[in-house]
Amino acid sequence: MSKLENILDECLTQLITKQSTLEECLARYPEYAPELRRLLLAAQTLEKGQNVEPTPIFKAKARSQLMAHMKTRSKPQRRGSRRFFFWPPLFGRTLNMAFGVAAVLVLFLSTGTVLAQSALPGEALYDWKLASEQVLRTVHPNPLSVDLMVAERRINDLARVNGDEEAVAVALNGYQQTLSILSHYDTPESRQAISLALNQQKAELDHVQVDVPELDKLLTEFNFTGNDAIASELAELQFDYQAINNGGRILTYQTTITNTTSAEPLSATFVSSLSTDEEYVSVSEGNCILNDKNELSCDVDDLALYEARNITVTTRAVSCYAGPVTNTATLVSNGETMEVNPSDHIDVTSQVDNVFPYPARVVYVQSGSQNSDLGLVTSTAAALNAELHRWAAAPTWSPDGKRLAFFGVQGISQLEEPYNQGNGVWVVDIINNTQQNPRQLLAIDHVKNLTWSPDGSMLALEVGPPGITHEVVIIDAQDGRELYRFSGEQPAWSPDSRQLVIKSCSDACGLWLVKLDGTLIRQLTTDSTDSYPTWSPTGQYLAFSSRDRDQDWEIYLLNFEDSHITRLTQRPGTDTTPVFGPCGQELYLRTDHYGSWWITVLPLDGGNEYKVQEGVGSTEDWGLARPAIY
Amino acid sequence: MRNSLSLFVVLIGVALIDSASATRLPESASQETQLIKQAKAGNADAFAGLYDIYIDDVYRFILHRVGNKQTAEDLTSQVFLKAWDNLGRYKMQGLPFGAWLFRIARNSVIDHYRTYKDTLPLEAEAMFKPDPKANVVKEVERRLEGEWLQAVLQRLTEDQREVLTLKFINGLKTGEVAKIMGKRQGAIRALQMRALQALADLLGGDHE
Repeated sequence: MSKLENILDECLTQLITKQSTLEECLARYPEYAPELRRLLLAAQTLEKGQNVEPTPIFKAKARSQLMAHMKTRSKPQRRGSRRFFFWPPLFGRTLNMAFGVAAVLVLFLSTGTVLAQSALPGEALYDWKLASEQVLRTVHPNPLSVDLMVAERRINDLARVNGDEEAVAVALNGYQQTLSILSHYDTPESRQAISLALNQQKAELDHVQVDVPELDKLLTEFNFTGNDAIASELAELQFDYQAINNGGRILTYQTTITNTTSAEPLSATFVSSLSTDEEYVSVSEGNCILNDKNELSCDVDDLALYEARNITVTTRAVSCYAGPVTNTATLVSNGETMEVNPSDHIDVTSQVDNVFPYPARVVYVQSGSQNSDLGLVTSTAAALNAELHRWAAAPTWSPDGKRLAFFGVQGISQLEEPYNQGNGVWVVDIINNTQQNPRQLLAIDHVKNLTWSPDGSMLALEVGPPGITHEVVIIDAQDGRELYRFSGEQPAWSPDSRQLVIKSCSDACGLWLVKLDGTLIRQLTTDSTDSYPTWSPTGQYLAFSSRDRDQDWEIYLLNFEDSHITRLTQRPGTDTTPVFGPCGQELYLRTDHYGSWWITVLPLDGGNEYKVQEGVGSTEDWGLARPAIY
Repeated sequence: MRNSLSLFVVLIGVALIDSASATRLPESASQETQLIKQAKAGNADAFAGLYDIYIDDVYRFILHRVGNKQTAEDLTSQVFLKAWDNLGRYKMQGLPFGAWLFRIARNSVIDHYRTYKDTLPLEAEAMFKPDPKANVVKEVERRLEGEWLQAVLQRLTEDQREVLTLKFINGLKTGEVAKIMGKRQGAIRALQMRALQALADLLGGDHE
């Protein structure tokens, strides 16, 4: 391997220095040719990176900042530097004299020109310094950068000769001449760069109390006060907008608004249009309003020169949505202080991934020999409330996630008021703790497999003591009034709340599709141990558990589109009472596969199972211990 | 006389161009040495001359390391401020001045990532990790050519990105890269090969 490393390095060096071509190199090392070619071609693509250059605006700004910084953090040796590089008067003070000894100068050219750059007005090499700048301007590919550099140099000259009137006049004259040259630039980009530099220079001149009327005039012209033609062409605020995360369901967008072209504080309004697939969560800046078009509008006031304001907008994907979302940001004028280029309009697309498990609240039944209690946990196994309710079983969420219905088991009256009515169907308002919370909907015993209809209007439950044929009862979710009653077990609502799947042996054993009054529609499965059906939110699937299909309790999935049944688990131990997660992508179930009873969640696509709650205890009746998911 | 004047003017121009727009570490650095001596003595103009020489290179190096224009500009400015503040520590007989600047730039990038990492939520942090499964071709189609290369480089490891940038974008020799990165030349050659292999894998068949 190290041999190839050396060969590669040798070839790269030769290619860079043009000592040989790629083909010549490959020909020298035929045994390495394929890999060598691949790597050399990859290296060639990097040449594109050499073309990248910082913008003139940035370079001018950074240079100005550096000069200002150096003024405030000058070195202790600074005073001595002028004398140290003093050039002998042998060559005279005028350029003409220098020309006269050009033949000698050529010998010292490199060093001499460099030394001249530190000369001050009145010193021997100052004219040489000015001449070298002129030359540079004529040959430099970017004369503007030279002119800006020269302007900065004259400011520095002024600062360094402070007190010497003659020298000040020379430096000032040089600065005025440079301003005159700069005033002839007429492209918006040039004027933006010049304006940046001149604003900085104005501050420096103010610091040394030097007034340059030509500078004020040029700044007035370039700062767009009264020059609408330029103002309409230029955005005075730089505007950057990007997604700072990608993937996941929480989306974060960062915008940076910077005043780059005016010394006056500017104001604008930042508008972010959220896509229909996302919901607004929060924003880092105040002064923001969310309107009914899902547009977030934020006022950004008083941005001083170079000041940047960051606004972070956080949104989340709407329930169950996965895919791209596009968020559009625009910067608009507030109509008073500025105009903004209408092209400052940025689309940012983020990807929303479905997460596993999808965020959900899981109510589990903690079973013991004497009692059943409810606990609450998140789908990612974060404990929320291990003592959500005592003496309770067969929980089911209301479709809006605000209420929980459960069967109050033997012993619930020990909780005293208002539980002295004892066993029955109870409803607890999880969000609002009102006076009627909790309330008994129906006084009844021997209830299990309680389930709330997707439209929220009804509850279905299985009722009956051991040893007799059980019945399915449908009651009104508001007042507990009985609506229907018929033979059957383990009711599961269809997504439209108009049908049920039940376990029944009244005609032939299996899972049956029935109307709400119990009328049989058709048989879906034919195994007598097919149990605990649950319908997916989209209506495409029915999940259930079964023992005799594989001589062990496993989870199965019936696809209504083709009536095909797929086994989802195949392992020792019991897997039972499946319940679909909120987006229908996963099934929550009870299993003792891991040695004790756990609530786990299993993705439908066959991915890894996730533990939600362990040690939930065994139960005499699985119809009491099925978890509820919202 | 006119001929000698023309020669003089041209030669001055060449001398200044060399110091104002060079894009490589100078081979023979007598002019640069003068500027460094003056700058070390406190001459701000001389240091501004060094700024003019190195601004493009430093910016290019940082941009390809961080992949974000705004961040690259901020860090580039900081490099020269730090260099001025620490110029007294620079030893002329040690590292070449350009290499010393790259070291400052390198440390600024590392500090930036360290700070940025500490303040980012976990979810956002994940986007800085190279993801070999990501569809690079599709992603780069949306970008302009300059940004395209940055997008590809961001998928390499820090060390790989650094060696490729210094070697092929900043045009430094293997020995100079070794000095900047504080590694032996043999280690740089090995790292260079792994980086090019990773880059070739990312580019896939489209560039073969």
